[in-house]
Amino acid sequence: MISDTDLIAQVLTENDRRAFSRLITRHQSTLRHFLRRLTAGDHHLADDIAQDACLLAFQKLHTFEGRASFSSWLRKLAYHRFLRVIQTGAQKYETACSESWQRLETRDAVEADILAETLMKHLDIHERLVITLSCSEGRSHAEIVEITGIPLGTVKSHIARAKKKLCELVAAEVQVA
Amino acid sequence: MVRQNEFLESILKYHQHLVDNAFVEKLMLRIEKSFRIRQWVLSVCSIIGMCFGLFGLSRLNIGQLELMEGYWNQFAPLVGTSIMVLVFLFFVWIFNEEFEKP
Repeated sequence: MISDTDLIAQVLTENDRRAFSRLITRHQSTLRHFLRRLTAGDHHLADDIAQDACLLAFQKLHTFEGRASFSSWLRKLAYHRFLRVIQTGAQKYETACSESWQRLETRDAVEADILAETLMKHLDIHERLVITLSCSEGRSHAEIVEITGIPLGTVKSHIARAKKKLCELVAAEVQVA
Repeated sequence: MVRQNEFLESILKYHQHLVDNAFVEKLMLRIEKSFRIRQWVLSVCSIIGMCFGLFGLSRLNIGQLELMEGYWNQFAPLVGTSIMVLVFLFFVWIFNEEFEKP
């Protein structure tokens, strides 16, 4: 399998768009999941932002320095694009959610993802961002700092707060059940 | 604490692999469209630039032209050919290097 670095080199040296297509095919699933979590389940908005981020990645690929992985760089572009998109309607995404969420039992992967996206409604944007990068993608704190530009201490406190909120929600749901 | 983390990770991990060829196809169409728009903008700007260049030449004083005439006659074919070649090379470079088709 050709590495991301080789595909990027093909795009840059030969202007090979098929190589870019392969690169995006490889990363589109996790990128779209990432944005679905950030938008707390707004699939259309998530896909629109993912498209914009990928287009920007194609236009700015020559600025990719390879210090972090391509997926981290793509997340960074997508996160900044997300912030720009929600600037006018940020209130919508930061309002505390009072609706109850589904039970913990899920029948299939689709329901499990919907459950996780619904859970995100109970977190603010920064908490969603860091908990997704940490728990869903298994990224290190250093990578999260690189992607988000948020200081290390703040990243740790956001993760701790998000975990506390989610655990309280889960505990409450278990008690109800 | 460890169990709590594992539990959260099991809930929050990406459960399905999103397979959507339409997503990639739509993206590649957008890239192609942006290429065409840039090409169009470049062509229009070049034409505008040439128009302004011709307008500037047409505004030159006739007296000045007559003074230059003797000097010009000697080198006109050489200078004219050089300019044409440079302009041609510029267009070849800009369309093949900068906006090369795959």
